[in-house]
Amino acid sequence: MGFSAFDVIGPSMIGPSSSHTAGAVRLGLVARAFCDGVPAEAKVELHGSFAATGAGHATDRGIVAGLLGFSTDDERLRDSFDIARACGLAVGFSPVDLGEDAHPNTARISVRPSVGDGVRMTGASVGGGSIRVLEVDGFATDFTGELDLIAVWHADRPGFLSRVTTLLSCVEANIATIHTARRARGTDAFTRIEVDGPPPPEVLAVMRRIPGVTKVVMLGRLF
Amino acid sequence: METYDYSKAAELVALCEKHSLSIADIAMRREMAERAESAEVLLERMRRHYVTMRDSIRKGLEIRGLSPSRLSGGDAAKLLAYSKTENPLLGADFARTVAYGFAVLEVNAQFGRIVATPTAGSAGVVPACLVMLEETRGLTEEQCAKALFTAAGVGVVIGKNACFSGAQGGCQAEVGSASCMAAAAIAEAMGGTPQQACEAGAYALMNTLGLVCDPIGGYVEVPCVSRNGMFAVHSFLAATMALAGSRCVVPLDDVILAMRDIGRRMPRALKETAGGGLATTPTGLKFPPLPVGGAQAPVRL
Repeated sequence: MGFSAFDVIGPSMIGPSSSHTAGAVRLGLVARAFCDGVPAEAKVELHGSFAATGAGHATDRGIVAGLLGFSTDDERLRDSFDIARACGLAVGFSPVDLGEDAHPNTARISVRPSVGDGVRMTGASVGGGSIRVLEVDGFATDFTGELDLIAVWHADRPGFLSRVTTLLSCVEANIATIHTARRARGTDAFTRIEVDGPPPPEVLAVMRRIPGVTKVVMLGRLF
Repeated sequence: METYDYSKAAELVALCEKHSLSIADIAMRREMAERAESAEVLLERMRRHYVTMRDSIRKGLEIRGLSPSRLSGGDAAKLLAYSKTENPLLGADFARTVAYGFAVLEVNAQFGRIVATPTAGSAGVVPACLVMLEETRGLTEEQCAKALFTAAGVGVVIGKNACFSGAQGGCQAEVGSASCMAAAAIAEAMGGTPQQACEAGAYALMNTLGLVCDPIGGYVEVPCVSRNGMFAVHSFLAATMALAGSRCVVPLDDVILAMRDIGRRMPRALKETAGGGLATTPTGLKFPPLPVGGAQAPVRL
Protein backbone atom coordinates (compact mmCIF):
# COMPACT_ATOMS: atom_id res chain seq x y z
CA MET A 1 0.00 0.00 0.00
CA GLY A 2 2.75 2.44 0.96
CA PHE A 3 2.10 5.65 2.89
CA SER A 4 -0.33 5.01 5.67
CA ALA A 5 -2.48 7.89 6.94
CA PHE A 6 -0.36 7.68 10.10
CA ASP A 7 2.84 8.14 8.10
CA VAL A 8 1.37 11.42 6.87
CA ILE A 9 -0.10 12.52 10.24
CA GLY A 10 2.45 11.64 12.94
CA PRO A 11 4.53 10.64 14.75
CA SER A 12 3.76 12.49 17.95
CA MET A 13 7.26 13.60 18.87
CA ILE A 14 9.53 16.11 20.57
CA GLY A 15 10.87 18.70 18.13
CA PRO A 16 12.47 20.11 16.26
CA SER A 17 13.15 17.50 13.53
CA SER A 18 11.79 14.03 12.85
CA SER A 19 15.05 12.80 11.32
CA HIS A 20 17.46 14.61 13.65
CA THR A 21 15.49 14.27 16.91
CA ALA A 22 12.97 11.40 16.83
CA GLY A 23 15.36 9.14 14.86
CA ALA A 24 18.17 9.97 17.30
CA VAL A 25 16.03 8.90 20.27
CA ARG A 26 15.40 5.55 18.57
CA LEU A 27 19.12 4.98 17.95
CA GLY A 28 19.71 5.64 21.66
CA LEU A 29 16.96 3.17 22.57
CA VAL A 30 18.63 0.43 20.51
CA ALA A 31 22.00 1.10 22.20
CA ARG A 32 20.32 0.95 25.64
CA ALA A 33 18.64 -2.38 24.86
CA PHE A 34 21.85 -3.91 23.47
CA CYS A 35 23.89 -2.67 26.45
CA ASP A 36 22.17 -5.39 28.49
CA GLY A 37 22.25 -3.42 31.72
CA VAL A 38 21.61 0.18 32.75
CA PRO A 39 24.05 2.36 30.74
CA ALA A 40 26.69 4.04 32.92
CA GLU A 41 29.05 5.42 30.26
CA ALA A 42 28.49 6.28 26.63
CA LYS A 43 30.64 7.62 23.84
CA VAL A 44 28.66 9.07 20.94
CA GLU A 45 30.33 9.78 17.61
CA LEU A 46 28.33 11.83 15.11
CA HIS A 47 28.88 11.79 11.35
CA GLY A 48 27.83 14.19 8.59
CA SER A 49 24.75 16.34 9.13
CA PHE A 50 24.34 14.85 12.62
CA ALA A 51 27.71 16.39 13.53
CA ALA A 52 27.12 19.66 11.64
CA THR A 53 23.61 20.59 12.78
CA GLY A 54 22.91 17.94 15.42
CA ALA A 55 22.99 20.23 18.43
CA GLY A 56 20.48 22.72 17.00
CA HIS A 57 18.24 19.79 16.17
CA ALA A 58 18.74 18.19 19.60
CA THR A 59 20.31 15.08 18.09
CA ASP A 60 22.64 14.90 21.12
CA ARG A 61 19.82 15.30 23.68
CA GLY A 62 17.75 12.82 21.68
CA ILE A 63 20.41 10.10 21.78
CA VAL A 64 20.84 10.64 25.53
CA ALA A 65 17.04 10.48 25.96
CA GLY A 66 17.08 7.13 24.16
CA LEU A 67 19.96 5.89 26.33
CA LEU A 68 17.78 6.79 29.33
CA GLY A 69 14.90 4.76 27.85
CA PHE A 70 12.61 7.72 26.97
CA SER A 71 10.17 7.43 24.07
CA THR A 72 10.21 9.83 21.08
CA ASP A 73 7.42 11.96 22.57
CA ASP A 74 8.77 12.16 26.13
CA GLU A 75 9.19 15.84 27.07
CA ARG A 76 12.08 14.97 29.41
CA LEU A 77 14.20 14.97 26.20
CA ARG A 78 14.78 18.69 26.79
CA ASP A 79 16.53 17.96 30.10
CA SER A 80 18.12 14.65 29.14
CA PHE A 81 21.71 15.88 29.85
CA ASP A 82 20.78 16.87 33.41
CA ILE A 83 18.78 13.69 33.98
CA ALA A 84 21.70 11.59 32.69
CA ARG A 85 24.04 13.31 35.12
CA ALA A 86 21.62 12.73 38.00
CA CYS A 87 21.30 9.05 37.00
CA GLY A 88 25.07 8.56 36.85
CA LEU A 89 25.23 8.21 33.07
CA ALA A 90 28.34 9.93 31.67
CA VAL A 91 28.14 10.81 27.97
CA GLY A 92 30.84 12.21 25.68
CA PHE A 93 30.31 13.44 22.12
CA SER A 94 32.74 13.77 19.25
CA PRO A 95 32.49 14.26 15.48
CA VAL A 96 33.61 11.40 13.25
CA ASP A 97 34.07 10.89 9.51
CA LEU A 98 32.67 7.48 8.57
CA GLY A 99 33.36 8.01 4.87
CA GLU A 100 31.44 8.91 1.73
CA ASP A 101 29.20 5.87 1.83
CA ALA A 102 27.83 6.53 5.30
CA HIS A 103 24.36 8.10 5.49
CA PRO A 104 24.65 11.83 6.47
CA ASN A 105 22.69 11.22 9.66
CA THR A 106 24.80 8.47 11.19
CA ALA A 107 25.76 7.93 14.84
CA ARG A 108 28.18 5.42 16.35
CA ILE A 109 27.33 4.75 19.97
CA SER A 110 29.54 2.86 22.45
CA VAL A 111 27.80 2.20 25.74
CA ARG A 112 28.77 0.32 28.88
CA PRO A 113 26.88 -0.65 32.03
CA SER A 114 28.62 -0.24 35.42
CA VAL A 115 29.44 -3.97 35.32
CA GLY A 116 29.93 -5.78 32.00
CA ASP A 117 31.16 -5.22 28.48
CA GLY A 118 28.45 -3.13 26.85
CA VAL A 119 28.12 -2.71 23.11
CA ARG A 120 29.11 -0.58 20.15
CA MET A 121 26.58 0.04 17.39
CA THR A 122 26.30 2.22 14.29
CA GLY A 123 22.98 3.39 12.92
CA ALA A 124 21.50 6.03 10.65
CA SER A 125 18.37 8.15 10.91
CA VAL A 126 16.98 7.84 7.41
CA GLY A 127 14.05 10.29 7.46
CA GLY A 128 10.74 10.87 9.20
CA GLY A 129 12.06 9.27 12.40
CA SER A 130 12.86 5.94 10.73
CA ILE A 131 16.24 4.35 11.49
CA ARG A 132 18.53 1.62 10.20
CA VAL A 133 21.05 -0.12 12.45
CA LEU A 134 23.97 -1.25 10.32
CA GLU A 135 26.70 -2.46 12.65
CA VAL A 136 26.79 -4.10 16.08
CA ASP A 137 30.13 -4.88 17.78
CA GLY A 138 31.84 -4.97 14.39
CA PHE A 139 29.25 -7.29 12.81
CA ALA A 140 27.43 -6.00 9.72
CA THR A 141 23.67 -6.12 10.21
CA ASP A 142 20.61 -4.23 9.00
CA PHE A 143 17.33 -3.68 10.81
CA THR A 144 14.82 -0.88 11.37
CA GLY A 145 13.30 -1.56 14.80
CA GLU A 146 9.83 -1.76 13.27
CA LEU A 147 9.47 -5.37 14.49
CA ASP A 148 10.26 -7.03 17.83
CA LEU A 149 13.83 -8.25 17.66
CA ILE A 150 15.98 -10.79 19.50
CA ALA A 151 19.75 -10.20 19.26
CA VAL A 152 22.10 -13.10 20.06
CA TRP A 153 25.88 -12.96 20.48
CA HIS A 154 27.25 -16.49 20.14
CA ALA A 155 30.02 -18.79 18.92
CA ASP A 156 29.79 -19.84 15.26
CA ARG A 157 28.97 -23.53 15.74
CA PRO A 158 26.93 -26.10 13.80
CA GLY A 159 23.35 -26.44 14.97
CA PHE A 160 22.98 -23.03 16.56
CA LEU A 161 20.26 -21.73 14.25
CA SER A 162 18.38 -24.99 14.39
CA ARG A 163 18.25 -24.84 18.21
CA VAL A 164 17.11 -21.23 18.21
CA THR A 165 14.39 -21.76 15.62
CA THR A 166 13.20 -24.92 17.39
CA LEU A 167 12.95 -23.00 20.63
CA LEU A 168 10.92 -20.24 18.99
CA SER A 169 8.67 -22.70 17.18
CA CYS A 170 7.86 -24.34 20.54
CA VAL A 171 6.16 -21.12 21.67
CA GLU A 172 4.71 -20.47 18.19
CA ALA A 173 6.69 -17.25 17.76
CA ASN A 174 6.63 -16.32 14.08
CA ILE A 175 10.06 -15.43 12.71
CA ALA A 176 9.88 -12.61 10.17
CA THR A 177 13.59 -12.45 9.31
CA ILE A 178 16.79 -14.00 10.61
CA HIS A 179 20.37 -13.01 9.80
CA THR A 180 23.77 -14.15 11.09
CA ALA A 181 27.07 -12.35 10.66
CA ARG A 182 30.39 -13.85 11.80
CA ARG A 183 33.93 -12.58 11.89
CA ALA A 184 35.35 -15.78 10.37
CA ARG A 185 34.40 -19.46 10.27
CA GLY A 186 34.27 -20.94 13.78
CA THR A 187 34.80 -17.63 15.60
CA ASP A 188 32.16 -15.42 17.14
CA ALA A 189 28.91 -14.37 15.50
CA PHE A 190 25.89 -12.10 15.87
CA THR A 191 22.38 -13.17 14.93
CA ARG A 192 19.33 -10.94 14.80
CA ILE A 193 15.89 -12.48 14.70
CA GLU A 194 12.88 -10.32 13.90
CA VAL A 195 9.65 -11.79 15.29
CA ASP A 196 5.96 -10.90 15.02
CA GLY A 197 5.33 -10.23 18.70
CA PRO A 198 7.67 -10.67 21.68
CA PRO A 199 8.24 -14.26 22.92
CA PRO A 200 7.80 -14.99 26.65
CA PRO A 201 10.88 -14.02 28.75
CA GLU A 202 11.44 -17.67 29.71
CA VAL A 203 12.34 -18.37 26.09
CA LEU A 204 15.15 -15.83 26.25
CA ALA A 205 16.38 -17.41 29.49
CA VAL A 206 16.55 -20.81 27.81
CA MET A 207 18.23 -19.29 24.76
CA ARG A 208 21.00 -17.97 27.01
CA ARG A 209 21.74 -21.59 28.01
CA ILE A 210 22.33 -22.79 24.46
CA PRO A 211 26.02 -23.83 24.30
CA GLY A 212 28.17 -21.04 22.85
CA VAL A 213 25.65 -18.25 23.49
CA THR A 214 27.24 -15.33 25.33
CA LYS A 215 24.47 -12.72 25.32
CA VAL A 216 20.80 -12.44 24.38
CA VAL A 217 18.78 -9.22 24.39
CA MET A 218 15.24 -8.36 23.40
CA LEU A 219 14.50 -5.09 21.59
CA GLY A 220 10.78 -4.30 21.62
CA ARG A 221 9.50 -2.70 18.42
CA LEU A 222 10.23 1.02 18.35
CA PHE A 223 7.15 2.05 16.33
CA MET B 1 -12.36 -7.65 -0.36
CA GLU B 2 -13.01 -4.16 -1.66
CA THR B 3 -9.85 -2.13 -2.19
CA TYR B 4 -9.72 1.52 -1.30
CA ASP B 5 -6.13 2.12 -2.34
CA TYR B 6 -5.31 4.89 -4.80
CA SER B 7 -2.26 6.73 -6.12
CA LYS B 8 -3.75 9.81 -7.75
CA ALA B 9 -6.19 12.48 -6.59
CA ALA B 10 -8.40 11.68 -9.61
CA GLU B 11 -8.58 8.04 -8.45
CA LEU B 12 -9.42 9.20 -4.93
CA VAL B 13 -12.28 11.39 -6.18
CA ALA B 14 -13.54 8.52 -8.38
CA LEU B 15 -13.54 6.18 -5.34
CA CYS B 16 -15.49 8.78 -3.35
CA GLU B 17 -18.07 9.13 -6.11
CA LYS B 18 -18.38 5.38 -6.68
CA HIS B 19 -19.10 4.70 -3.00
CA SER B 20 -20.79 8.04 -2.22
CA LEU B 21 -18.23 8.62 0.53
CA SER B 22 -16.05 11.53 1.63
CA ILE B 23 -12.26 11.65 1.27
CA ALA B 24 -12.00 11.09 5.03
CA ASP B 25 -14.17 7.94 4.74
CA ILE B 26 -12.09 6.53 1.89
CA ALA B 27 -8.85 7.28 3.76
CA MET B 28 -10.22 5.47 6.82
CA ARG B 29 -11.43 2.44 4.83
CA ARG B 30 -8.07 2.19 3.11
CA GLU B 31 -6.43 2.09 6.53
CA MET B 32 -8.96 -0.44 7.89
CA ALA B 33 -8.28 -2.78 4.97
CA GLU B 34 -4.50 -2.56 5.37
CA ARG B 35 -4.25 -2.76 9.16
CA ALA B 36 -7.25 -4.97 9.93
CA GLU B 37 -8.32 -2.43 12.55
CA SER B 38 -11.79 -1.05 13.25
CA ALA B 39 -12.96 2.45 12.35
CA GLU B 40 -13.30 3.19 16.07
CA VAL B 41 -9.68 2.28 16.83
CA LEU B 42 -8.35 4.34 13.91
CA LEU B 43 -10.52 7.33 14.71
CA GLU B 44 -9.44 7.20 18.35
CA ARG B 45 -5.76 7.11 17.35
CA MET B 46 -6.29 10.15 15.12
CA ARG B 47 -8.30 11.90 17.86
CA ARG B 48 -5.32 11.51 20.20
CA HIS B 49 -3.11 13.12 17.56
CA TYR B 50 -5.62 15.98 17.33
CA VAL B 51 -5.55 16.47 21.11
CA THR B 52 -1.72 16.58 21.04
CA MET B 53 -1.91 19.20 18.27
CA ARG B 54 -4.35 21.36 20.25
CA ASP B 55 -2.18 21.02 23.38
CA SER B 56 0.85 22.15 21.39
CA ILE B 57 -1.04 25.30 20.32
CA ARG B 58 -2.04 26.06 23.91
CA LYS B 59 1.53 25.57 25.15
CA GLY B 60 2.94 27.69 22.34
CA LEU B 61 0.65 30.59 23.18
CA GLU B 62 2.16 30.64 26.69
CA ILE B 63 5.78 30.79 25.53
CA ARG B 64 7.44 34.03 26.60
CA GLY B 65 11.16 33.12 26.49
CA LEU B 66 13.41 32.64 23.50
CA SER B 67 14.49 29.30 22.04
CA PRO B 68 18.09 28.08 22.65
CA SER B 69 19.16 29.61 19.30
CA ARG B 70 17.41 32.92 20.27
CA LEU B 71 15.76 32.92 16.84
CA SER B 72 12.17 32.42 18.00
CA GLY B 73 9.86 32.62 20.98
CA GLY B 74 7.03 34.81 22.24
CA ASP B 75 5.56 35.90 18.92
CA ALA B 76 2.54 33.57 19.07
CA ALA B 77 1.56 35.27 22.32
CA LYS B 78 1.98 38.73 20.72
CA LEU B 79 -0.24 37.75 17.78
CA LEU B 80 -2.91 36.37 20.09
CA ALA B 81 -2.82 39.59 22.14
CA TYR B 82 -3.14 41.62 18.93
CA SER B 83 -6.13 39.51 17.85
CA LYS B 84 -7.86 40.57 21.09
CA THR B 85 -7.37 44.30 20.53
CA GLU B 86 -10.35 46.44 19.63
CA ASN B 87 -10.10 46.44 15.85
CA PRO B 88 -7.52 43.97 14.52
CA LEU B 89 -6.94 43.88 10.76
CA LEU B 90 -9.47 41.66 8.95
CA GLY B 91 -11.01 40.65 12.27
CA ALA B 92 -9.84 38.66 15.28
CA ASP B 93 -9.85 35.25 13.56
CA PHE B 94 -7.22 36.36 11.08
CA ALA B 95 -4.47 37.11 13.63
CA ARG B 96 -5.60 34.18 15.81
CA THR B 97 -5.09 31.70 12.95
CA VAL B 98 -1.58 33.06 12.43
CA ALA B 99 -0.91 32.90 16.19
CA TYR B 100 -1.85 29.21 16.25
CA GLY B 101 0.52 28.34 13.42
CA PHE B 102 3.33 30.23 15.17
CA ALA B 103 2.53 28.51 18.48
CA VAL B 104 3.16 24.96 17.25
CA LEU B 105 6.52 25.84 15.69
CA GLU B 106 7.62 27.77 18.77
CA VAL B 107 6.89 24.66 20.83
CA ASN B 108 8.83 22.58 18.30
CA ALA B 109 11.82 24.92 18.57
CA GLN B 110 11.81 24.58 22.37
CA PHE B 111 11.80 20.78 22.44
CA GLY B 112 8.07 20.46 23.12
CA ARG B 113 5.70 17.76 21.91
CA ILE B 114 4.17 18.18 18.44
CA VAL B 115 2.69 15.92 15.76
CA ALA B 116 4.66 15.85 12.50
CA THR B 117 1.99 16.88 9.94
CA PRO B 118 3.45 15.84 7.55
CA THR B 119 6.85 16.95 9.02
CA ALA B 120 7.99 18.69 12.19
CA GLY B 121 8.92 21.83 10.23
CA SER B 122 5.40 22.11 8.83
CA ALA B 123 3.59 20.89 11.94
CA GLY B 124 1.68 24.13 12.57
CA VAL B 125 -0.45 24.55 9.47
CA VAL B 126 -3.02 21.74 9.77
CA PRO B 127 -3.47 22.08 13.57
CA ALA B 128 -3.98 25.87 13.33
CA CYS B 129 -6.71 25.40 10.72
CA LEU B 130 -8.55 22.60 12.51
CA VAL B 131 -8.45 24.20 15.96
CA MET B 132 -9.83 27.39 14.37
CA LEU B 133 -12.68 25.32 12.89
CA GLU B 134 -13.34 23.72 16.28
CA GLU B 135 -13.46 27.11 17.96
CA THR B 136 -15.29 29.16 15.34
CA ARG B 137 -17.47 26.59 13.57
CA GLY B 138 -18.28 24.25 16.43
CA LEU B 139 -16.60 21.15 15.01
CA THR B 140 -16.35 18.38 17.61
CA GLU B 141 -13.05 16.64 18.45
CA GLU B 142 -14.28 13.66 16.47
CA GLN B 143 -15.06 15.81 13.42
CA CYS B 144 -11.57 17.31 13.66
CA ALA B 145 -10.11 13.80 13.81
CA LYS B 146 -12.09 12.96 10.67
CA ALA B 147 -10.79 16.11 9.02
CA LEU B 148 -7.28 14.80 9.78
CA PHE B 149 -8.21 11.74 7.71
CA THR B 150 -9.17 14.09 4.86
CA ALA B 151 -5.76 15.76 5.22
CA ALA B 152 -4.06 12.36 5.29
CA GLY B 153 -6.09 11.14 2.32
CA VAL B 154 -4.73 13.96 0.17
CA GLY B 155 -1.28 13.71 1.77
CA VAL B 156 -1.00 10.09 0.63
CA VAL B 157 -1.21 11.28 -3.00
CA ILE B 158 1.62 13.76 -2.41
CA GLY B 159 3.73 11.15 -0.63
CA LYS B 160 3.29 8.63 -3.43
CA ASN B 161 3.95 11.06 -6.29
CA ALA B 162 6.38 13.59 -4.83
CA CYS B 163 7.81 13.94 -1.30
CA PHE B 164 7.48 15.75 2.05
CA SER B 165 11.13 16.42 2.76
CA GLY B 166 12.70 19.86 2.57
CA ALA B 167 16.05 18.23 1.83
CA GLN B 168 14.53 16.63 -1.29
CA GLY B 169 11.91 19.12 -2.44
CA GLY B 170 12.37 22.42 -0.62
CA CYS B 171 9.76 24.06 1.60
CA GLN B 172 7.07 23.60 -1.05
CA ALA B 173 7.27 19.87 -0.15
CA GLU B 174 6.86 20.61 3.57
CA VAL B 175 4.69 23.68 4.15
CA GLY B 176 3.26 23.42 0.63
CA SER B 177 2.10 19.87 1.32
CA ALA B 178 0.78 20.81 4.76
CA SER B 179 -1.18 23.70 3.29
CA CYS B 180 -2.57 21.50 0.51
CA MET B 181 -3.72 18.96 3.11
CA ALA B 182 -5.18 21.65 5.38
CA ALA B 183 -7.08 23.34 2.55
CA ALA B 184 -8.66 20.04 1.51
CA ALA B 185 -9.56 19.26 5.13
CA ILE B 186 -11.18 22.67 5.64
CA ALA B 187 -13.15 22.41 2.38
CA GLU B 188 -14.47 18.94 3.19
CA ALA B 189 -15.28 19.80 6.81
CA MET B 190 -17.25 22.83 5.56
CA GLY B 191 -19.42 20.67 3.32
CA GLY B 192 -17.39 20.78 0.12
CA THR B 193 -17.44 17.79 -2.25
CA PRO B 194 -14.35 15.57 -2.68
CA GLN B 195 -13.74 17.42 -5.96
CA GLN B 196 -13.90 20.78 -4.21
CA ALA B 197 -11.55 19.52 -1.48
CA CYS B 198 -9.02 18.56 -4.16
CA GLU B 199 -9.47 21.96 -5.85
CA ALA B 200 -8.75 23.61 -2.50
CA GLY B 201 -5.61 21.48 -2.18
CA ALA B 202 -4.59 22.35 -5.73
CA TYR B 203 -5.02 26.09 -5.10
CA ALA B 204 -2.96 25.87 -1.91
CA LEU B 205 -0.10 23.86 -3.39
CA MET B 206 -0.06 25.77 -6.69
CA ASN B 207 0.57 28.97 -4.81
CA THR B 208 3.46 27.58 -2.75
CA LEU B 209 5.38 26.21 -5.75
CA GLY B 210 9.01 27.25 -5.71
CA LEU B 211 9.32 27.81 -1.96
CA VAL B 212 12.87 26.97 -0.94
CA CYS B 213 14.16 25.55 2.37
CA ASP B 214 16.82 28.01 3.57
CA PRO B 215 16.38 28.35 7.34
CA ILE B 216 18.97 30.33 9.28
CA GLY B 217 21.67 28.23 10.94
CA GLY B 218 19.80 25.10 9.91
CA TYR B 219 17.38 25.73 12.82
CA VAL B 220 13.69 25.03 12.17
CA GLU B 221 12.78 28.62 13.11
CA VAL B 222 13.43 31.43 10.60
CA PRO B 223 11.42 31.50 8.39
CA CYS B 224 9.65 28.29 9.50
CA VAL B 225 7.77 29.72 12.50
CA SER B 226 6.19 32.65 10.64
CA ARG B 227 5.69 30.55 7.53
CA ASN B 228 3.51 28.08 9.42
CA GLY B 229 1.35 30.94 10.68
CA MET B 230 1.05 32.58 7.27
CA PHE B 231 0.29 29.37 5.40
CA ALA B 232 -2.48 28.45 7.82
CA VAL B 233 -4.23 31.57 6.50
CA HIS B 234 -3.22 30.59 2.97
CA SER B 235 -5.05 27.27 3.50
CA PHE B 236 -8.24 29.11 4.44
CA LEU B 237 -7.86 31.26 1.31
CA ALA B 238 -7.53 28.17 -0.89
CA ALA B 239 -10.57 26.53 0.72
CA THR B 240 -12.54 29.75 0.31
CA MET B 241 -11.80 29.82 -3.42
CA ALA B 242 -12.79 26.17 -3.86
CA LEU B 243 -15.99 26.54 -1.83
CA ALA B 244 -16.88 29.61 -3.89
CA GLY B 245 -16.71 27.42 -6.99
CA SER B 246 -13.73 29.20 -8.46
CA ARG B 247 -12.03 26.95 -11.04
CA CYS B 248 -8.37 26.10 -10.40
CA VAL B 249 -7.74 24.92 -14.03
CA VAL B 250 -4.72 22.76 -13.12
CA PRO B 251 -5.90 19.61 -11.31
CA LEU B 252 -4.22 18.59 -8.03
CA ASP B 253 -2.40 15.65 -9.66
CA ASP B 254 -0.69 18.01 -12.11
CA VAL B 255 0.20 20.51 -9.39
CA ILE B 256 1.85 17.69 -7.44
CA LEU B 257 3.87 16.74 -10.53
CA ALA B 258 4.93 20.37 -10.89
CA MET B 259 6.02 20.41 -7.23
CA ARG B 260 8.13 17.30 -7.79
CA ASP B 261 9.66 18.75 -10.96
CA ILE B 262 10.55 22.06 -9.30
CA GLY B 263 11.95 20.21 -6.26
CA ARG B 264 14.28 18.18 -8.45
CA ARG B 265 15.56 21.28 -10.27
CA MET B 266 15.99 23.30 -7.07
CA PRO B 267 19.68 23.85 -6.19
CA ARG B 268 21.03 21.83 -3.26
CA ALA B 269 22.08 25.04 -1.49
CA LEU B 270 18.38 25.85 -1.09
CA LYS B 271 17.29 22.45 0.20
CA GLU B 272 17.85 22.28 3.97
CA THR B 273 21.64 22.65 3.86
CA ALA B 274 21.92 26.18 5.31
CA GLY B 275 24.04 26.80 2.18
CA GLY B 276 22.15 29.71 0.62
CA GLY B 277 19.24 32.12 0.75
CA LEU B 278 18.35 33.48 4.20
CA ALA B 279 20.93 31.23 5.85
CA THR B 280 23.88 32.93 4.13
CA THR B 281 22.73 36.55 4.43
CA PRO B 282 24.76 38.75 6.83
CA THR B 283 22.01 38.24 9.42
CA GLY B 284 21.82 34.50 8.80
CA LEU B 285 25.54 34.07 9.31
CA LYS B 286 25.28 35.56 12.81
CA PHE B 287 23.54 32.39 13.95
CA PRO B 288 25.94 29.48 13.44
CA PRO B 289 24.91 25.96 14.44
CA LEU B 290 25.31 25.07 18.15
CA PRO B 291 28.23 22.86 19.24
CA VAL B 292 27.21 19.24 19.75
CA GLY B 293 26.86 18.32 23.42
CA GLY B 294 24.93 21.47 24.28
CA ALA B 295 25.58 24.65 26.22
CA GLN B 296 26.25 22.70 29.40
CA ALA B 297 29.14 20.47 28.40
CA PRO B 298 28.52 16.89 29.48
CA VAL B 299 31.15 14.79 31.22
CA ARG B 300 33.92 13.75 28.85
CA LEU B 301 35.04 10.13 28.89
